[in-house]
Amino acid sequence: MRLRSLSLIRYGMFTDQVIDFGEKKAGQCDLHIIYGPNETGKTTAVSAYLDLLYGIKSGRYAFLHLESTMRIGGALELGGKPQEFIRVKSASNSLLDAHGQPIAESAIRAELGAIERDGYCNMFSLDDDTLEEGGEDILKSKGDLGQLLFSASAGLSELSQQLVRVRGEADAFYKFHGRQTKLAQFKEKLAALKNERDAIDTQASKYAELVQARDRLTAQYAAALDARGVTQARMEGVQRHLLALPGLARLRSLRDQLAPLQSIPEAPRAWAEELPKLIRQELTLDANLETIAKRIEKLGAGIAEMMVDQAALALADRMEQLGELRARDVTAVKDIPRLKLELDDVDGSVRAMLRQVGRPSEEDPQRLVLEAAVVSHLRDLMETRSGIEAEKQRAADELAQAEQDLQQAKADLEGAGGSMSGDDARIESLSRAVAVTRAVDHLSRCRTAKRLSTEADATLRERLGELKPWQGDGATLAGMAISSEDEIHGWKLALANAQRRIDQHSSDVARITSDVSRLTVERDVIGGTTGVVTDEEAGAIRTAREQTWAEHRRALDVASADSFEAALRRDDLVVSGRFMHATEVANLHRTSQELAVREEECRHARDLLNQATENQKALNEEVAAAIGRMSLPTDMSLAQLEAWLTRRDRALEARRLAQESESEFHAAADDAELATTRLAAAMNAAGLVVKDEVVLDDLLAAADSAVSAEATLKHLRNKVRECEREVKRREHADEQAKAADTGWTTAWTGSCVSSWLGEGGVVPAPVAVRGLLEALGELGPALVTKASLTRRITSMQRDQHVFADKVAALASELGLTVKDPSATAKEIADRVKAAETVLTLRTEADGALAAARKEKEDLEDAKVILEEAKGKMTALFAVSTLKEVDAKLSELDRRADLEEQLGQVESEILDALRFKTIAEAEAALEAMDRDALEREQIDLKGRFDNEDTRCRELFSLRSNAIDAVEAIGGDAGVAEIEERRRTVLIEIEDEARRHLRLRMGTAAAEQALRIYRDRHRSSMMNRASEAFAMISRGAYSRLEPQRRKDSEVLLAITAAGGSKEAEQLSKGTRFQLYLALRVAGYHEFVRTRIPVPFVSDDIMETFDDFRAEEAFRLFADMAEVGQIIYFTHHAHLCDIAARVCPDAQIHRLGTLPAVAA
Amino acid sequence: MAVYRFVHSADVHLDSPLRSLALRNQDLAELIGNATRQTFARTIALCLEEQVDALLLAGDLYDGEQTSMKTARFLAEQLHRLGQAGIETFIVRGNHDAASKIARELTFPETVTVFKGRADAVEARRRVSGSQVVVHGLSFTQPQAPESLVAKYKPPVAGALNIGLMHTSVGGSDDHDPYAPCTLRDLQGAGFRYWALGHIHKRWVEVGPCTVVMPGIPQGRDINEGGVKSVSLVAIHDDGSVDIEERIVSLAQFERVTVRTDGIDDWRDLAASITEGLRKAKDAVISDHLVARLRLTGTTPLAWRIRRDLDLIQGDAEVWASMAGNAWIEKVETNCRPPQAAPGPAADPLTELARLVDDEVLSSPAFKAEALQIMRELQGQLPPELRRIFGEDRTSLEATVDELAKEGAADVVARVQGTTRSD
Repeated sequence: MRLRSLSLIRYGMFTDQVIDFGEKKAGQCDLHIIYGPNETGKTTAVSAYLDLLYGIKSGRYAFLHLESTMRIGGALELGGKPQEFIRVKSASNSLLDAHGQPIAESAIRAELGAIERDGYCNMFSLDDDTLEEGGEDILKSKGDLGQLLFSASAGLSELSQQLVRVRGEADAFYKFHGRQTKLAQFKEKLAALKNERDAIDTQASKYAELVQARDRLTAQYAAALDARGVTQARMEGVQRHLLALPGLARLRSLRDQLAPLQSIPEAPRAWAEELPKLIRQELTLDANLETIAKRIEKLGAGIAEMMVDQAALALADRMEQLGELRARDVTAVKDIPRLKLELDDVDGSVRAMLRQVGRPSEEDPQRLVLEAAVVSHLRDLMETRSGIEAEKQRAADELAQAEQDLQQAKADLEGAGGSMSGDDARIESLSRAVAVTRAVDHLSRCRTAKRLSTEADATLRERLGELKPWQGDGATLAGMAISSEDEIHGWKLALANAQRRIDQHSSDVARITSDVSRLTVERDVIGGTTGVVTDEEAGAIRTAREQTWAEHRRALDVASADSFEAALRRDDLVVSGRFMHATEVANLHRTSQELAVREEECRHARDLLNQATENQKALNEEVAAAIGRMSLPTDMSLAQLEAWLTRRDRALEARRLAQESESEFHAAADDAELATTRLAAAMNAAGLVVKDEVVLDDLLAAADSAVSAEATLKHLRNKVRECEREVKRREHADEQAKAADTGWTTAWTGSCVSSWLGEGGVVPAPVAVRGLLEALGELGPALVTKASLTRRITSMQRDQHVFADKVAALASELGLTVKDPSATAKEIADRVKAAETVLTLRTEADGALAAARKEKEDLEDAKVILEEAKGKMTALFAVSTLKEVDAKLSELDRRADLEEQLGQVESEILDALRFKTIAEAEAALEAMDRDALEREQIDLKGRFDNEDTRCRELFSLRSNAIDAVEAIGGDAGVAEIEERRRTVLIEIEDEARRHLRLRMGTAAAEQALRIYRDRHRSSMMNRASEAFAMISRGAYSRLEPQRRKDSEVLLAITAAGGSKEAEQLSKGTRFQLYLALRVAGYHEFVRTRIPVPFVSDDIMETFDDFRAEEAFRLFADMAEVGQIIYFTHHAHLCDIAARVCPDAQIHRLGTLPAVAA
Repeated sequence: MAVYRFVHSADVHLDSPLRSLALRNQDLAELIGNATRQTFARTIALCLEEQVDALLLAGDLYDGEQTSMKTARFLAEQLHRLGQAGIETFIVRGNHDAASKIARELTFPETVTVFKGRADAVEARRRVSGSQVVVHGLSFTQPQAPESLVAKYKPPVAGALNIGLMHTSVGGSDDHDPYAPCTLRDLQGAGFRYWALGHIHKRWVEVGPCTVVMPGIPQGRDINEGGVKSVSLVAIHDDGSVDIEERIVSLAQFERVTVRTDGIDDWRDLAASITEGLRKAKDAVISDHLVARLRLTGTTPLAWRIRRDLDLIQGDAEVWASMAGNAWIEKVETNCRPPQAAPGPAADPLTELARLVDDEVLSSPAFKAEALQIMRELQGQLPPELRRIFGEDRTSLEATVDELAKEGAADVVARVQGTTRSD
């Protein structure tokens, strides 16, 4: 496959850019240098090429053109035939043929085979980084030949690193004798989990043991409890016996005490409680009876002495009723003189007021007091009076002023020659027309356009003049068929080429001719040496000898013999001469040969020169013919033609400008005329007279003054209308003010007449009324005060009379005479009070006497009951007093107590000894040995303590056993650990498989690399060796493989014959080695496959010029079998490439021809 | 009530751990750890919620090697809950729990019937419309039962509803050895209304005059027990009709998610296809959690890269899963192949190398010996539980070696290409 051209139609920063690699010419190397400064898109172009082959990758290079519009074109030589393709960005059918029809990917891919994009990048492209990484990888590979050859062929730069990494990963999991491996960590984890599980788990077997232990301990505990119980029971028995022994003595003592008390009769139990009460009662009753008798006697004597005043007592109620009248009488005596004085004061003030209002003899002063509503109304009216008068005066003044203004405005309008009947609308449309016309300055536009047009015409004429000797007008010029720039460019290149070839061949001819001359001279010089005969001459002499010999044989006569002899001698002479001058002969021989060659070369060079001359001539003729077709002198050179075409372009540009100016002038004139017509029409419509032939400016002036005059009149008319409206408004206000004045007068008169103010038919003025109202304001309250005082005095005097009458009536009943009712009343009241006191005392004494008598009867009844109870008790014990009874009862208590003690002792003994009757028990106790019992008790105590300790121990053990069984919960702890352990095992399994895969995979790859090495060694080593010698500029003479155990490594042999291993090479040398291997790899590929373009991106940044030269030699070498494209931004590399490989084509990015439309 | 209702489950394998690399994720381990327990607890909850009459467990309650009494205590506690609610439990032992030690040590509540090694017929506490309900059962006493057990069962009780409880592989299954083999016809001929079976971990229902149900494992434990897992809620009416409802109680569902890569040549398209595949799988899952094993297959130019960057794909898938919620990625596998190279001279050195590996290296006896040596070396270092994972005998070991070497060689070739600089 070969790339014929690459069209960057819409891609990255490119729009319609073409890189044309042209056809590959037989015998020339296919090396292309694409030069572009930084940022001109070299990388983009490489990517575009790959996208053309494999499809546009998303998300890149879509910064100028949308991804959906991206488009790459290209011509590829497939099977030796060029084929056009277009690549667009699309999910399917992204590859199109020259006609834009979708075409299968296989159209391209068939020739690429299974090489994918990544593979292509690796194998057929090279850049600085790859070179550096490749050099590094040589170090990592330790010179392993298989890896080196393979990575160079595949274009991989990190093969060895990857293999090392893979081995590292495998070793991380497990390595023989490795300690810190993942596997070891996993095993530790498993062990930890097992411990964790053992710590919390209970196995079934262990569980059974626990249950067994629990049951066994439960049984043992029960047995121990029984034994301890038996011991404890016996201990308690002995204890009881020991306790019962003292009981026997007490039993007997009690019986002795009881014997004397047995004869006392039994008394009811209640007596014990009753008896003390009866004794206390007897004493109390006797004392109380005596006290009460004395009190009755004393009360009877007091009552007999008390006497009550019945007459006074009868007046008690009436005296009480008299109380209030008495109090009033006291107040009246004090208040009446003071009130009379106050009344005289008020009367005086009233009289003064009446005088003040001019009514000193008024019978009824109350009549003069005015109602509050009337007063308020009068006051309101007085307040509004001044305002109403002022308003009336102001309205009249303003009306007069407005009428005066109106007269003035009318006079102004008439003075301006207007009337009120003007038409405003008429002039408005004219005003608009003027504004529209003024918006464009038609006249200056016309003038400018005219001037530009004239200038443009002049320029055009000038430019046409510059085209001499050609003659003609602009139209002819524009219609001319001319050669394209490409054509001219093509001719120039071809002519330059032809010239170069002529020069080259001429110099060849000259050089070779001079060689021929030199050689001819050399030959002649050698030939001129005596005895030296040229081969031709020697041959001719030998031929002559052979001929004479043949004639002699035929004739066998003297003449023929002589003739033969002469020929023989001559030949001998020549032969011996040649023999003597062998060196000269050899030189002559060589010179002749060389001469022949040179002459041949000379002929060939001449032919080539002739061809080139012919070619040049043909080209010149072609050019002349083309120039002739343009009606130009045929002796015009190409440079002249280009200059003429440039001038033609300028003339055409001038022509275009002239045409544009002219049309602009016409357009301006048309617009001005149209504006004039429209304005005239508007003026006519406004009633202005317009002359037929007018200039637009005059017309505009006339229209302007008409508009302005009309505006003044409109203003004056408006002024008159405004004044008229003002007069009307003022008339109305005046009327309203007058009406308000009339209304007020009516209201005032009405108010005065409705009261005494209007009496006598005279309405007082507001000032007079104001004074009256102030005086009357105090009259009302004075009259009220006077009435109130009079009323209070009368009421008090009436109360005094009633009191005196009632006192007189009471006094007569008691037979008293009245001097002062007040004093008499006091005397009666004192008598009544004394009578009431005596009566109270008498009543109280009667009550006390009756109570004492009743109390005495009750005491006597109680005494009877007591005597009856006392009798019962004394009779039983045959005694006389209650004290004696009490002594008997105490003896009875003591007897009961002794009996109870006896019973208790008996029952204690029976309890302790467990006998049925006390008699048996007494007998047994008497037979008991106390010492023996005490000894047994000590023995039992020791046994019990042992048994008790054992019980406690067993209880604790049994509880623990029960707890241990219960402690096994149903929680998921163990299951969780088990699950974690399972997960770890799965992880180990997974990692183990991975480890094996990686190890086995590495082993397989290494073996495969060895096979690869053996297959490709012979074909690649020579090529790599040569390339390495070349790129190292002879510092190393060759590369050699060397066997090492089971591998084979690469050695570099220095010029001096020493050998170095990969590790010993300098970094720079390793780059060179990698480059050499890659070159070999490419040749290896091409050996069996159709070559594909190899793309390299500025790998020579760090190379000096000599090394760069060698590198280009390597590329030139590769370019003989395939297409090599080298991108650079170093101009000097272009020169070096051109020097090393004259066939190399230089393409410049950014100045590439555009894609043909 | 004229209906007898019960939940039928089997192969609970209580406390048998889940086997998945996904559990390396601690979050997931906490969520679905002890899944068998949680599933069993859910089964009990289902019984209580539905107020069924009984729970039927057809064998393999736990694994034989299960020796922790905690497991037994948990089981007892759960069955006690049922007992308190008056729900009976009928259990037969299967091959796994036949010889279980933990069961022997355990006391069940009175409501639990564990059938012995001799066939028995037990009358249920509840009657249906006055008729008896009789449960027939027979436990495995040995881990093996090469003979059919059907004939040993007691004859059906006349006039009663007869239910059979049996642990059997029926006609044998691909994944299980034959245990108490019998035919469907044998079962249908026994005269029971319902056969509650256990042993096969995949659900299987045969409806008819004698309905036979294999409920399957209620909670899958690894990718080989993938898909929907459930228990059966059964109602048998007095007219003889049977309703069977499949009830999901599982916590997590294992699924293989296969994504076809044919025709995909862009990494982003690949990512989209994977996401789509996972999303579909997630949508179809009924359990709480999806544990997915992602498998990429097909012919694609990305084959080598997929193999090389499998860890990145797994990372992306895990990110997706964590965003989708309740989804987890166990592992990502590939068997993608690059498009077939043209025959004849190798297209490029990489293809040539791959062919050399396939055609000359892998099959060579020298390499096989080396690979076997590598495996033996590692095998000796593995924990005892894992010594046999690569095979039991020489034949299976060699097969494993072949497979690992082939995969490994592909991995390494893919890694070697790792350095490609696609501009």
